[in-house]
Amino acid sequence: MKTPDSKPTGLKVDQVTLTVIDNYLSTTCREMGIAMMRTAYSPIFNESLDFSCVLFDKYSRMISQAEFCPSQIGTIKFTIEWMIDELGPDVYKPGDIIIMNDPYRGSGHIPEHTLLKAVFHEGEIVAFVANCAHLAEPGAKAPGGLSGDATDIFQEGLRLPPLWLQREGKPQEDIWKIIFANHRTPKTSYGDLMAMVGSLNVAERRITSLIEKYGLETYQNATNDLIEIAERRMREEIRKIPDGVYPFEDIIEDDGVVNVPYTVRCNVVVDDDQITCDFTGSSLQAAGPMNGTFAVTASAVYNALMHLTDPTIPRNEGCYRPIHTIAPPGTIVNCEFPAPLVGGNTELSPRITDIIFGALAPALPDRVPASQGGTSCCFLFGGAQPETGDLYSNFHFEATGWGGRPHKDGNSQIIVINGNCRNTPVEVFETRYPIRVESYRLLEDSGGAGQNRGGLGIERIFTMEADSITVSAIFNRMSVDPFGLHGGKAGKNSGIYVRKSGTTDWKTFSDEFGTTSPSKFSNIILNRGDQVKIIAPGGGGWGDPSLRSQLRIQADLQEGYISPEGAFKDYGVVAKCDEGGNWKVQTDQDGKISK
Amino acid sequence: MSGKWIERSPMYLSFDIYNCDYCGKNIPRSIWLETIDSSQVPFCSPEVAKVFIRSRNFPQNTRKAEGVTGLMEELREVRNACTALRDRRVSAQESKSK
Repeated sequence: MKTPDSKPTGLKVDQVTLTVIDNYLSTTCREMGIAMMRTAYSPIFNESLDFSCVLFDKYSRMISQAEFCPSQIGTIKFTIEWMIDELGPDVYKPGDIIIMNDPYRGSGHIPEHTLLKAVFHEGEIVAFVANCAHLAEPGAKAPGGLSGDATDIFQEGLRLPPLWLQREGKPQEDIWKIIFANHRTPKTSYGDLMAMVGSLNVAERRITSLIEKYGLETYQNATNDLIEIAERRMREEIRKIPDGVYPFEDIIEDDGVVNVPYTVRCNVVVDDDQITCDFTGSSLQAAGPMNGTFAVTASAVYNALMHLTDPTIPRNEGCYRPIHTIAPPGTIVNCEFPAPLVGGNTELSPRITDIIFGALAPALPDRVPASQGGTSCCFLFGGAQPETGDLYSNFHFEATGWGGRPHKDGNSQIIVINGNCRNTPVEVFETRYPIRVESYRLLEDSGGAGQNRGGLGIERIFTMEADSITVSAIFNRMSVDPFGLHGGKAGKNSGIYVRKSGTTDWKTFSDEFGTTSPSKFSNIILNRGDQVKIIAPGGGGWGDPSLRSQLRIQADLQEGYISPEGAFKDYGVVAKCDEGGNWKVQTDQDGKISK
Repeated sequence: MSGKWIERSPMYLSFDIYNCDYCGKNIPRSIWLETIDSSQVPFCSPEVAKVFIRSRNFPQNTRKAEGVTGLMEELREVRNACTALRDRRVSAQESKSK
């Protein structure tokens, strides 16, 4: 199979073999994910796919990943580095599995648990396999884990430093007992953690089989070559961006504890074949849980730059090397222990990605989209099942509109850019939890107007079907618009409202329950018949709305993406519907659009 | 460039976080100590130290371009900011409890 003549300079393995091994490794990561999806107990695993699977070499360099959750893939680089650094390189035995979720040791936030296993060949470590997944119940003060008004990390769940979950194939029962004693839903956590263990076993078998087929030397040379190729190609991509300093900033509107806005500021410095994203000048860390750790910030930077560069570059250590992040300690982008931070991974992370997009928009006008909705719309709830009394707990997130792009409209109703997850089908949701979905629809006029319109957000209404359900939320973009680019208009804001049973008006949680923030709160008790309305924001528009064609405006009207009022307000056109139900933009005798 | 790796032992009873003086990254165990203008400055890796040294000469860089003195001033600002932050956190909690 080897074709030595096809080797590029400096590489030890021919390109055909390299391609086969690269695809084998990424397919292994996908198979790890499928194993988790099929065997886990929680909808956040088997429906939302809020997990990631990654392979590392024996030096803890990432060698492959699959297209799961970008924020986890970015942070896991730091998580694994920390775990191996803290424990040391020589402490692992075959069958050992290590668990960690401590954000101050490189994890994204407490609900995200990382499991690590060393793979051995003839007594030597040849790889580390790892996965990271969001457990719906981490033992925080609020069911579901995202306490919107937490004031320190200890309110956000059980913090696990690197610990042996399994030694030489045997479960460490003491550790499992501690975890389950602190989770509201131990059976679900058990099923989800065991799914993660199974996923690591799949990866171990695949790596072993790969080495048996190609030999250790070829495997190691191939992974080295793939890292080198990825680095070289990423540097080439960065070199195409004009050198310069590109500033941008945006706002986190409040933190759930104090109602003050926080500025996230970044200067993207493109310097030949390297990029440095410098967050100097960002606000001091927040009192509430909107902070990010260094790993979260760096992960968001990677995420943005992976979206703007060649997607065929192998995703491994090499493609991260030319990308640098500067995040001063004590700021909202690199908070200091023990600051609360659970919302940083869901809200700050997409904001940072959008900021990098905004900064690079002048340099890459043909690639950069406008702002996405940019909030995960985290809605958490828990309680006891009315029929059985069993405790349940869930983290529900909502999809938003994405920004208009240089070549087409933004996508509607897509999970936020740091998540890349799926929504949970209504049928599954209603089967698992005592909450009914009254309505779920795209929200007209929510996408920012533009030559290329922003994607639409959604509206969903829940009705509580149990006597007592404890709800929490972390939303953003409720008062700060998702920005447009190149003359495009902003997308519509998010919202979360409550209507108590027997009343008619929708109110914010601040108005109804006196929460400090209308969008970030925890442990509000709702009763049977109470309703919650979630509005997920639309994406920003790209380009001057007046340049949008008459046909596309008509198509938007026809699909119900915009209203005739919106067509007039945002695009300045008058539209009428004929008897056949066809919308048409009015023109005068010369064919000019009526404005 | 001249520097060296130093190792720290992980603590269990006191949880200390060490940040790279330039990029802010949390350093688990190995710290790169770079000698710059006869001062020793901690970094998370020699690569980051290299970026820093190069960025001192990059005219439009947002970091202060006056060299180490400027960097130290900037770090002092960050530390002062952290003190202010702690004060602010206390007052935030006080105002919430009222």
